Amino acid sequence: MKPLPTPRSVDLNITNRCNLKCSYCSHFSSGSDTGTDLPLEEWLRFMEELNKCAVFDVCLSGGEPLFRKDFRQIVEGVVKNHMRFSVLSNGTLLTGELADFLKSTGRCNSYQVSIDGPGPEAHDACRGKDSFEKALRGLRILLKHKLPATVRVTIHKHNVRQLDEIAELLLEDVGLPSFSTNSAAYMGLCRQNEADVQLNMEEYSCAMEKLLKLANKYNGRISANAGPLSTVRYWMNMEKSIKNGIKSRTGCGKLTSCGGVLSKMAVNADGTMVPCSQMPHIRLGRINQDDLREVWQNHPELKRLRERRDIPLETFEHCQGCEYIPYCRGGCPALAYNLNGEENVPSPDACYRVFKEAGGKLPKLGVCRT
Amino acid sequence: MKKIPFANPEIVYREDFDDWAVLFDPDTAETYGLDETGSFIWKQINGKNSVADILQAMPAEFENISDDAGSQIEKFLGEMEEKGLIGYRK
Repeated sequence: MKPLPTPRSVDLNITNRCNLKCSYCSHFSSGSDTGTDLPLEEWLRFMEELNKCAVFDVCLSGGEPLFRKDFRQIVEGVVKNHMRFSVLSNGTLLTGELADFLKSTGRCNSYQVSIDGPGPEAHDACRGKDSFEKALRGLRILLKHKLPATVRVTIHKHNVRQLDEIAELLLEDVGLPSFSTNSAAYMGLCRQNEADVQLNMEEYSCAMEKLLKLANKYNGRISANAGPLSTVRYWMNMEKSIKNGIKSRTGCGKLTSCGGVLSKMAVNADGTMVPCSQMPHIRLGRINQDDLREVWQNHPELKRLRERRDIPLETFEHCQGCEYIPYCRGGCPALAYNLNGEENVPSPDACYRVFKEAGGKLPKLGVCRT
Repeated sequence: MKKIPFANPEIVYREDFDDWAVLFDPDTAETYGLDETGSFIWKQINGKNSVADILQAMPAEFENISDDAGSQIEKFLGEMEEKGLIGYRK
């Protein structure tokens, strides 16, 4: 598939710093943990280049983007250069005054706050003391100001048995239209804290069953692009396809899971251009020194990642003889790198056969004992 | 008096493929697809060209210009005006 002439969207990790240090954070101790932040002038200069490249929107993240004292000027730079923005935040530093400003721009696509529990115990277990109350306060400020608030719930060992209560808090008490889920993935600090945060097979199966039930109960108001809910739908579709005699699914049988490199890229806090915030180890160039359009169109590493989509799963020893190949897309390249040391291979994390061989079962078999 | 269309300066024009472009309004987050003819007209909207000027420039780019091309351009510009993509100077 031909990539666009320039990225449509760019993720800007505007700071390496954060007021929290969550035990599953994908940023700290990864390749994006650069130790330096670019000065405001550099970001503003780069935004002019983004404008020239007709980039539509940026995602401001970090670290914690609000940790920067000049966050407001960065947003002004986005607006001045004809773009929209979204924010990925822990929510704890948001004030009413800042929310007023964000609202006044009219350009905020979404402001995502992380909420991991129905109360402080589960949330603060990974995210630090008092962070639940502050995050919830931030979320309520967003809603009060009618900003497009979204919530990401990252599922881990400390909250996996409280998914009912989390859904009740967010969808009934707080009144959010929806929230999204993921689970602590083997990246960044999670690699060091795996035993304390990452779900084991039984917990993952439990989360799949519970989230599927909750997604039905709340009529689609719980979503996922990764993690247990996304995975269970993906794997159930595989079984359904086989049962219904469907020989293959469009786009499957190759490493097609991620199309990000066709329309998006990211920048680390030190100005290094990277394919994705989750693949900060692949350094493509430096903003304001290397030409964005040139990097996007011709960098050999981006070409290599784009070619991933043409690699048949049957060429991998790991996939030999697998009946699910015609329904499989190979999983996230960043997780494949973290688990296998290279991107252009299937991610074991997304492998249904591995899950089954390890004793995992899909929800209809009733493995959840909460 | 001639009506002169001018582009909303906030609108982003993006050529994603050879014969296809997109207009993006960052204030509304709306996108609008443009075909080859639409792209040509958009590029002619510079705050100086009138509808007649745009019509006059078309044969250099396109063959078989229809007799009602002028009214079609006016209709197209009218739709863009409704969407806030352009305005008129008189």
